[in-house]
Parts: sequence; structure tokens; C-alpha cells
Amino acid sequence: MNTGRPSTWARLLRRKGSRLALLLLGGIALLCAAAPCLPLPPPDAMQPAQASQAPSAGWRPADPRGLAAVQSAHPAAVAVRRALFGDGELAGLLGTDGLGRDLASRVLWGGRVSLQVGLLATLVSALVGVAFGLAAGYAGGRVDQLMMRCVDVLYSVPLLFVVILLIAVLRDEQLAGRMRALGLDRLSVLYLVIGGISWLTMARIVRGQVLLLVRTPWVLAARALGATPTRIACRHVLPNLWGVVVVALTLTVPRVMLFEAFLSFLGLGVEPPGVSWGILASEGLEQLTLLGAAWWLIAFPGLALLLTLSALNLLGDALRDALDPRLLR
Amino acid sequence: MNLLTRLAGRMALLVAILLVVSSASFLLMRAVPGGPFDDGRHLDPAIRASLQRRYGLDAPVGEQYLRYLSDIVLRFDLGPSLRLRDYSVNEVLAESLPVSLLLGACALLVALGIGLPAGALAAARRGRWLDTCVMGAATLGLSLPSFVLAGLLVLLFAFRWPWLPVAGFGTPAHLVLPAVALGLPFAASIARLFRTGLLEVLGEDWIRTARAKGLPGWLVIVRHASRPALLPVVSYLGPAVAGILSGSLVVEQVFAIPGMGSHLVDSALNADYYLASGVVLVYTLLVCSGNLVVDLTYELLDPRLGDPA
Amino acid sequence: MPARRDRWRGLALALPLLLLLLGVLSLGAATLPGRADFAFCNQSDVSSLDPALSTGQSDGRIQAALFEGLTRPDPQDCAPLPGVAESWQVSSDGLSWTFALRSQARWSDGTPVTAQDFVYSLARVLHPATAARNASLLWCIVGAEAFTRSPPEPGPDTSRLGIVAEGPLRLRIDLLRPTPDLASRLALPSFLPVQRACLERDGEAWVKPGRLVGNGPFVLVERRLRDRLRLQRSPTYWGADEVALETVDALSATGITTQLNLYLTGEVDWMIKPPPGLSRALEGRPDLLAGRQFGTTFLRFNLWGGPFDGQRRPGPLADRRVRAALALALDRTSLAHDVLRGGHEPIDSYVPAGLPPYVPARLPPADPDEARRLLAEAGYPGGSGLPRFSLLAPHNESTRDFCEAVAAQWRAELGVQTELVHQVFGVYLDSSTRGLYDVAWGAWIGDTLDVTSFLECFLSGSGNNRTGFADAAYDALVAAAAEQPDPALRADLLQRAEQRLLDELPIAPLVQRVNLNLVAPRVRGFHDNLLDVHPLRDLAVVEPAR
Repeated sequence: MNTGRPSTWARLLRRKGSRLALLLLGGIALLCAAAPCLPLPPPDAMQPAQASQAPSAGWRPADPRGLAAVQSAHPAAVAVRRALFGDGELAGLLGTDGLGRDLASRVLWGGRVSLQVGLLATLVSALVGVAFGLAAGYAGGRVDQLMMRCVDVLYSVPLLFVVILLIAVLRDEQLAGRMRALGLDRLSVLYLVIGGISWLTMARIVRGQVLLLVRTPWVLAARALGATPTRIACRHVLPNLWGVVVVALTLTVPRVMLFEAFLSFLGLGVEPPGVSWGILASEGLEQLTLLGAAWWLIAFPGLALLLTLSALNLLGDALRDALDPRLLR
Repeated sequence: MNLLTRLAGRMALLVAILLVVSSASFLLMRAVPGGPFDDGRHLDPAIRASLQRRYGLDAPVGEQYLRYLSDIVLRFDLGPSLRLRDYSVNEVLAESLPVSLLLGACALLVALGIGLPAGALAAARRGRWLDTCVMGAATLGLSLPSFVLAGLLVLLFAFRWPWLPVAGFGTPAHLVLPAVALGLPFAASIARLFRTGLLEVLGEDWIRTARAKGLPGWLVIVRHASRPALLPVVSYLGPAVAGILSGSLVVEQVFAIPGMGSHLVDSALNADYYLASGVVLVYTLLVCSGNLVVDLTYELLDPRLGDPA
Repeated sequence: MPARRDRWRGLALALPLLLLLLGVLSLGAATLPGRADFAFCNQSDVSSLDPALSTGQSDGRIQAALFEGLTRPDPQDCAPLPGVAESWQVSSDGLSWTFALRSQARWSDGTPVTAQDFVYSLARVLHPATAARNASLLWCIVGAEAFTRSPPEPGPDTSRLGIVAEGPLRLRIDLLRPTPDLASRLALPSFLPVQRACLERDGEAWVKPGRLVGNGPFVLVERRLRDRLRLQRSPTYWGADEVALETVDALSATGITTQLNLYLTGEVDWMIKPPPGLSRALEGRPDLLAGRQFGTTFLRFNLWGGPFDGQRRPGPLADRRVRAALALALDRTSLAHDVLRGGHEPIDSYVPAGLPPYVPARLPPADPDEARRLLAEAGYPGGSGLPRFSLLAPHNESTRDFCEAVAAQWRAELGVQTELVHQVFGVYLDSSTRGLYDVAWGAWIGDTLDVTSFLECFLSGSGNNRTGFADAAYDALVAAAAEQPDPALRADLLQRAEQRLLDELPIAPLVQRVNLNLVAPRVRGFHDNLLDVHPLRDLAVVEPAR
């Protein structure tokens, strides 16, 4: 482990902005993770009689059928909910949508999906990026030049458009069936595709860092002593990469989540009856008319996105400043 | 001399990229079994066969691909549109490309016009509440998706205070909301980059000399500090152009602007093979050219970079 | 060196400015030429202005304005009115129709419209190389089906077709079997005439503004993709005095919220199909016209249990009791009033009512207890033992909500689990054609006010069947009705066929479709009719637009 690391956390936490960001992120993640435990109506329960209600709080007995559906998926959580809150639920906290579905519930359950996609896709991009950057930086010379040239080429291609075509193609029933046979459902395909186009920056950063590390005295010594490349990679290079990687990760997650929202808005991302913040935003936009815009339908999902992404950006910046900046040039 | 060889190299790379992208998009579209002729009743097989024959879609995929490539390279013909039967892809692009360029240019103007002054202001008042405000606003701007921003803008400036039209295209007023929705997130990044660049420069000796000579602060910033501080902004313009073009997909849909973005989404969903491939090709060309121009500008602007070795 | 450097620098900075300048210049080209007398949202871009290539209502509205056929639909009840044909006569056996064309009918370039134009146009629609979608609607004409099915090269012989010009103003059409609604069919946009000289002169580019020659009440002035299409009253039209609108704009905006906002801000006067999600807010508005449509929304059941590629794999859905249970468990009233809203009504037959002398057959009302009993009798009490059904639907907002409600009702009433599969329309059509589904959303809308088109869907060999339903008795009844010239006897045969369909239940009819239109109060001549046809020729406005 590199020395001097413990002070990073202290440096990080000293900044006001990063404390706020951590608090915010933690709070949102906790709420979303705890969604099955909270006394809210299920996200897909349609109540046409209460459609398009403005936010208001009301406690009412829970609908047993809806609860049963949630219980089958998360039995422990619902048991906790029953114990804490009994059989009631808080309805209409943030209003309802055109079909009477509770918005607060949809925002939280949608957050689960959006955060999940964000994290997993970022993980995919991190795995690919780190592997690629490590290989390029370590190999050096011609191989490194070639690999970085590939990255340059891919960087200049607007992969977004090709991804749109790819996803439109992968929605075909037969192809989706074949994917399912391989164990990949629609959501997994989404992680892979989104992660697959976000790894380039990570690869560049990692490679730059690896190039520096490879010239440090202890790596040169290890080489002279005849250590195998894998051993050097694992013991000397990888542990010193984590700072850079963490910063890059924290800055990739908001981009990936924005991209997922973008795709869901176009109808190519998460599909109904699944919920995600992108879908909620697009549904909210559809309700924006001169007839009395249901402003809560776009305000609250937009706020959720705003808070989460700003917190992530703030955190990423703070991390980058807290870590030794010289390493990142 | 070196610059020219590098330019030639970049052009060759561009051609290679275009080839890869057009091939990928063409082959992807052909993988969809839905076909472009299904949008209503069941088609009698005889009629369907005639349609396939008419558009050359009954030949094997390899042959279609070769014909497609040779048409593009030899005659610049991107093929017919399978949905908009009265138009060829070239005609569709000729109508929609200028609109997208216009929207993109306006968005870029908004981004620079708001971002640069904001960044300069924040740098000049560093550490004080104005700086925190502007930087806070910038972080927020980065975090809001363009379609949510579009919705909020419509809510405020078309509904609450009906000053601007809600959608459509044709007068300058129609472009205001879309350009702002598209450009504001990039204004945020530009403000941050410009502020960082300015702060670096403002600490240097020659700035202090200028100040000591009695020049007012704003003049110092505009005439002396800007040039080097603009470098990170200029290098950001490459990804910014790409981002504006991709953001335009959503903004064009929300505001009903007849640009290329709306064509891309529709043609992808409706298996209009040639139009989708053509639009992707043009977007790639735009992004790569944008990057090229930005790189050139960067080199020529930076007095410290000589001719590369 | 420094001088050259500065020049390069200047050039590099000038490039982006040049781009911006280009953009500003193109803005000059994009200015609006002022609002038209009447503007409406046409739901999407027209896929082609060529009538033979007509695909949907968006195309049809514009084509019906630019061209006129032998007959035209009455705006109040869709009955065929004289168009280019002043009158027509049917022979006693119903196999020969003779049309007398009016002498004042002119193309927009001044040349007269003759019977030969119709021979050319109808033969063109039926020609295999044109690949017109609706060609099959004219296969009742002698020689037409063989004509369309013959190979495109060297080109079939038009003399084999039963369409003959007996003089410059007399057209005769010979039929294989009596087709009482031929006059209505000829009013359809697919069968509007085109001018041979114009096509031969301009080739593929004949549909461009300035070159298009039509014989309709309007001419094409301008067309901008994804923006609008502008029409202007034609001075050469024989009924030009009856056309009240001077200029018409058809906007192509596809976003439904955008269209609604354009209507609410007064930029358009007519919006078609307002968003169902907002029907609550729109209810009670005087400018919302809701009328019954000649169409039904239903669910298809896959009787083969799998793809239609040769081998039947009978599953639970092959059992009539299971299908009946699924059909009876659904609360159609709630689906129509609460989920779809906006004037939708539940239906208890497959063919919508309202077309005397035809009286539709009846489906029993919703009865969840009976449904549960039937399901238990079939061997699946409480839904146990049933696999998870896939519920296929095309990807759009209203069908999504509808299918989710159906799935929720089945889950609640019968314990049946479904998996919702949403696909782009083309892929959905392909999947349902190939049998890659268990239950599918479906709809049928009549092109003309004829019951036969509904029932012909479920003939054994029909491409619109897509359920695997094949019943010899049903086929025989429909075939007999086609040969029957007497309307009352025909209606009786068709009703017996429909009753058979509702006994076997390869489909579960649910809701009668509704026509929703938002029409500004300044518009006159807009009538609600079953086919939702509103010819621009018959519309007028009372005061100038804001």
C-alpha cells in the first residue's frame, strides 16, 4: 500500500461540499435500498380513481394484493415493514400519475433500478478500462501505441448513435430470446452495452498512471529480482491504482446514469412495467401541457436525478482534489 | 510540413472510421427481422416480395452491403428512404442537416455566451459567495438531463409566462428554448474549465506586472489572461460538439425541430435501414470534423506548442 | 514566421465563425410564410403522396385532398357521393358496374380527366411492381388477383383486367362476385387517379411540389419534412366553389404532447387522437368530439400453442374453456371507462353495432365466478398448473396501460400470471404472424362500412387471422355470404358466422374503439362518423386565425 493514503480521507472530509455530497448520496441510496420496507403503495398499483392527484399525505390501509406481490419478491423486508408500520401505508406523498400510481413509491423503486444500472454499468466499464489500461501501460512500446491508437479511434466515433441502433436491434424478440438462453436479460444487456462505451476514459487514465508506476524504483527492483509480471501487477501496480480508479468511477457513474435516463426517455432503456428515473422523467414530460401541468410528475424525478448526480459530481471533484494531484497529470 | 502530414493521417483515419461505422450500422439494421414494410395490415406475400424486389432487399446481405458501399463511394448516394417513400436519404439529409447545424451552433453560442462570463466572474470573485453560487449552479447544470431541463423551460417560459412558442420551427423565437436546453449543461462545464484555467494564469508573474501597471481587473482578464486560459475550454469543445449533437436527439423530439436527430430515432425504431445508416454516417463525420477543427485550433492558439517533433 | 502563424491562427478562429454564419443564413431560408387558414396536426409525416403507396390515415388525408376518385365519402355518414363520377349503375346480378364521369373534371394542369386515366391508375395499383398494400381490396375485379400475383417482368397484360373505358367519360368494371361496397372502396385513397403524363415526364420526382399534377380540391404548394405540408385551393377543380378553405397546413409533429400544446396555443385547429393519459383533463371540453369508431380492440389467443410452423403444440389455450374463462374474467366496462377512458365503450360482440341490416352476435357479460368455474373444470383451479402466458402488444402508451390492466385483472380474478412483451409495431406484427406469443393485443378497424372485412380476418387462410383458428363451418358461412346478393340474407349468414366465432373464442373482444378529435370552435363542417373521415374539401372556418 502506498504511504500517505490515510490523510486522503481526512482531506476529503474537511471540505464542506464533500460532506454534504456524501450525506446526500448515502441518504438517497439508503431510501432506495429500503424501499420494500417503507410503508408505501406498490409502484405498479393502478388506482384510476386517484389519478393525477397533487402531492398530499394520507394514511390508509394497504391493499393486500399489492402487498402480496411485493412480499413474494422481498419477504424479509415486508416482514420488517409490517413490524414497524403495521398494515397501513402513506399514499399520495408526492402525488400520483395519470393511472393513479403513487409517485413517491415509483421514485424510490425507480431509484433502485437507476442506481443499479449506474453502478453495474460503471463496474463493467471499470473492469474493461482497468484491464485494458493496465495491459497497455505495462506492455509499453509498440503494443501500447497500438492499443492507445484503438482507444483514440473509438473515442472519436460517436458510439451513442451506434448504441441506439444496437439497442433497437436487441429488442427483437428472437434475439432477446437467445440472449435470455445465455442468461442475459434485457437489463443485463443494457449494463453491458452502456458499460461497453464508457470505458475509454478509464483506460486512458489507468494507462497514464501505470506508465508512471512502471518506472518507480520498487517496480524496477522487482523486475530486476525476476518477479513475474503478474506478481508485479498485483503487488505493486494495482494497489496504487485504486485512487485514480475511484475518482474515475465516481465521475463515470453520473454520466452512465444520465445515459440510461436518456435511453429510457427515447424508449430504448429500461422498459415498462419496470421503473427508472429516466422513464419517470419521460412520463412526466408527457404530462406537461397547458391543461394544468402535473408539475410534480417531472419535478420530483428531476429532483432525484439532480441531487444524486450533483452529489456524485461534487464527490468526484473532491476526491480528485484530495488525492495527490500530481499523479493525475 | 509536419502539420500537413498529420492532417493527411487524420483524414485517412476519418475515412477508416466512416467505413467501420457505416458497415456496423448497416449490418445492425439488417439484423432486425421486423422489416421496414410492416406498419399496418398483413401484407400478402406476393406484394411483400414485390416490395423487397423494388428496394433490392431480396438479394443476399453481402451483395446488398457491397452495393450500398459502392453507391456511397462512387456516387455519394446514400440510398432511398424505406419509410419516406418520396425522398432519398440524400434529400432527407439536405433538408434536416442545416436545421441540426443551426440548432447546434445556437446551443454552442449559448454555452460559450453563458459559460465564459460565468467562469470569468467566478474567477474574479474567487472564494466569495458569487463564486460559490456560480460553481454550485454549474454543478447542478451538469447533473440535469437535457430533457428534464427542456420540460422545466417549457413549464416556465411557454406556459407560466407565455413569451416563447412551445414547439415548432421557423422563427428565431422557436430556437430560443431548444438552444438553451441543449447548451446549458455545456455552459456549466465551460464555466468550470474557464475558471480553473483563469485561476492558474492569474497567479503568474506577468499578470501581476500588468496589474501593477494599473490596468483594470476586467481588462487584464479579457486581454491577457484569456488566451492561455481558453486552452482547456477549446480542448473541451471537441467532446462538447459531440455532446451537443447527441443531446439534440432528445431536444429535437421535445420541441418538434425538423433536424436529423428525430430522423435517427424514428428510422432506428422503424427499420428504415438506409436512412438510419446515413444519419449515423453524417453524425460521425460531423463529430470527427469537429474534433479535427478543435485540435487544429488548439495547436494554433497555444504559443507554447511549436511544431510537433 | 510570426506573420504566417497569425494568419493560420486567424483562419482557425474564422472557421467556427463561418459555420455559425452558414447557420444564420439557413435560418433565413427557414422563415415561416405566415399561418394558413386552417392548420391541423397530421400525426406524422406523410410516407408518400403517391395514392397507390398509401399506408395510413396520415397519407390518406392529404392524398384525398390532392386527388379525387370516382366517388368520395360523405362527411356525415361516409356513404359514397359522386366524385369524378357523376352517377353509376349496377347490373342486376351485381357483377358489372358502369360509371358516368363528369365532363368538367380537370387535372391541375387544365387537361380533362378521362376514363382512360382510371384504367391506367387502377391497373397501376394492381401492378406487381408498384407493390401497393391495398391492392387486395380490388381483387374482386375480374383478372385482378392474377394480375397482381404475376411476375413483374415482362409485365402483365392490362387487357386481362375487368376495367374497361367504354368512352372518354364512361368506365365499366366487371366483378367476380357481387361487391355491394365497391363504390365505398373506390373512394379510398389507394384508388385515387394519377396522371400518366406527369408520371412519365418526371419519374420518381413527380410528387415534389411544383410537379405534382392532381385532380383534387387542393394543390401542393410546399413540403418540409417533419415540419409541415402546405396545400392551396385548386382553381381547376370542378367543385372549386364548394371548397371554403384557401390554404391548409398539415403539421408533421409526432409527439402527442407537442401536438396537444400546438392545439392549445392556437397554432393548429384540429388535433387527432388526443393523449388518452390526459382524457381526465380533457373530459367535458366542448371542443372534444368523441364518437364510436368502426373498430374493435380485442385479445388474440394462440391456438397452436407455439409458432405456426407446421406442428401444433396444444397447450392450455387450445381448450375452449380456458379461453372462455380468460374472456369472461375481464371487466370490460372498467377497462373501457377507467383505463382507456375518453369515451371508449365496452363491446359485447366482435363487429361493432350500427350498420343495419346487420345485427351483431352477442358475447355473454363478464362473469368472474363462471370464469373461475370454467378454469377449474378445465383442470386449472385457481390458476394453478397454468404456465406464465406472454401478453404481446405494440409499444405505445395506451396499449401498455391497457395490457397492464388486463394482466392485473387476470392475476386478481383467476390467479393467472402473464409476462408483458412490448415490441415496435413492425416486430409485433411479425411476432403475431409467426405465432411467437400466447396472448396478443389486437385491433381491427374497417376501411369501409362493410361487415365482411371484419369476419374475413378469421378465415382459415387469412393473413390477418394469426391465431391458428381454422373452422370449416365458419369459412363456409362467410363464403356463402360473399355470393349472396340479397342484403338481408347476407346479413343473416354473416351473423351466424360471427356467432360461431364468439362460441369458439379465438379472440376476446373487449372494447369498441373511439374516435377522439379536438376541434377548434371556429371550424365548420366537421362531423363525427364511424370511419373518422373528415375531407378537407368540406371544412370551413368562420373567423381568421389569431
